Formats: sequence, structure tokens, C-alpha cells
Amino acid sequence: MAKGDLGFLEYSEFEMKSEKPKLIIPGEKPSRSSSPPEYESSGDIESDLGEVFDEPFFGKSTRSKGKPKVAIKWSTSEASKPRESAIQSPEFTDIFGKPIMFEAAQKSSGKSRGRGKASDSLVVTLEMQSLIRNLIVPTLFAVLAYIPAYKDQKFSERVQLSLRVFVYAFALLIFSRFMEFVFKSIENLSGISDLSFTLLGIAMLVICVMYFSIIKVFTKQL
Amino acid sequence: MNTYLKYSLVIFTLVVFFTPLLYLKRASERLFEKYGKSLTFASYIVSAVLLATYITCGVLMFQVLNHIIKGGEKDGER
Repeated sequence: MAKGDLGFLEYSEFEMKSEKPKLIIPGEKPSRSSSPPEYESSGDIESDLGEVFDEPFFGKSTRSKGKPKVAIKWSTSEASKPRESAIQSPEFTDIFGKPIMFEAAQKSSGKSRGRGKASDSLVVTLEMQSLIRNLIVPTLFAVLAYIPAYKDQKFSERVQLSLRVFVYAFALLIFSRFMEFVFKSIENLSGISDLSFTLLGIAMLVICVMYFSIIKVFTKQL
Repeated sequence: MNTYLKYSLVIFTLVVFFTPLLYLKRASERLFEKYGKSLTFASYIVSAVLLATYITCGVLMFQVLNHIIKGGEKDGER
């Protein structure tokens, strides 16, 4: 081992190895030929970096036989865990029954990150997404209805028609979502009696008749 | 009313009407898997009531659409 003085750094204090320490990326398998890294991470990258750099980089090191801590390893057990941001919920399935994976919008608020917060933000994101999706189609129809069909069609008539079409399309989408919810709920019901099913059917009939009557009256009023 | 708008609204109504039926199909399949052997005659009647409810909703839906289309045409002709 070579010893000497480089002016500001005594490199005799570091053991110069022929093998360079490797940075192991989570998810990758470490190669068996290379020697295991000297340092195992606790999982929290901030504390790891703090430990690596808490000693002065330039100037004399206080350690006598310290090895350079540059390799950060995520253990394979940590890497094999599913990512915290990816939430697979059996509640959200597509029409073919496959569970949908969602990337939760997480806030990096230190160590208080938890599944509760992620699921809350997930629900809010989903609600916003469904609301936006439900508004896009009616808006497109309203824009299409605004295009005049006749030469003598007045501005107020066009606006009225586009409003009617918007209300109709939005009401239909809400109805569709409601029915999807009802049918999904039926799927998960267990031990329900025939009488309850009949009552559910009658209630749905009443609700839907009322709903469409309201829409009809509302579109007339517009 | 614009012809394209008319046809697109009819297609949209049909799509919106038939999409929840896919969920109903899946739900009925699961229910048949669960209680297939113990399904009574009353259960079939109940399912028929539910389906009839849905068809009524579809009829109402098209009534409203018809009303909107007719209203749009009358407004234009005036």
C-alpha cells in the first residue's frame, strides 16, 4: 500500500482496494463474483447519506483504519417488497375483473408516510378523475350542439339546445355510474333474502322514474 | 338539430345504457357460481324485476332524448 502526503489529504488513511465498490440498484440482483459491499443500508436513503458524509471529506480524517463508505446497498428483501406508491386494491377492478394498479400521489412528508395517507389521496384523485371524465363528454356534445343546424337559428336557441344536451349527457353518465355501483354491490352481497332483492328492485324503479322525470322537466325548463 | 349530433347522441345513449349491463352480467355469473344450486323460482322473478327496471330506465332515457331532439328541431323550424 502506498503511503504519502497529497497536501490536504493523507490517503494512507484509506485502504485502496483494487475492486471498486458498486452501487446496487434496488431490484437488480447483485453479481456473485464481486465481494459483498461493506455497508448495508437501513432503507432510509437520507440517513444513509448522512452517515456516509458525516465525516469530513477533505482534511484529516479522525478514523485510523476506516474504509471508504461509498457503496449503498438495498437488501434483497427490501427490493422484493412492492413499491409503497403502487397500490393494488381489489375494490377497483375493470369490467373483466382484473384489479387496476394505481400510482398514488404521495406527499414526501418525512417519515410520516403511510398507507392511510396514500389511500386518502388515491380516493381524492380517483374522484377528481371520474368527475373530469364525466364532464368531458357532455362538454363535447354541448359544443357540437352549439353549431347551428339552420341558417335562421338564433343564438339563444343554440345556447338552449347545447345546455339541454349537456344536462342530458351528464345525467346519463351519472345514471350509468349509479347502475354500475348497484350491480357491483349486488355482486358482493351475501345472504340477502328474495324479499330484500324485490325491495331493492322496486326502490331502484322508483328512483330511476323520479330521476328521469326530473331530467325531462329540467330540460323542458331550459 | 344537427344530424351528426342526433346520431352521436343516440350512439352515446346506447353505449351508456349497455355498459352497466356488462357489470350485471358479471354479477349474475358470480351469483350463479355462489348459489347456483340453491337458486329458487323467486330468485328468477327478482332478477326479472331488476332487468325490467333497467329496461324501463332505458325507455325513459330514450323518451328524454326524443324530447330533446324534437325540441331542437322545433326551435330550428320556428
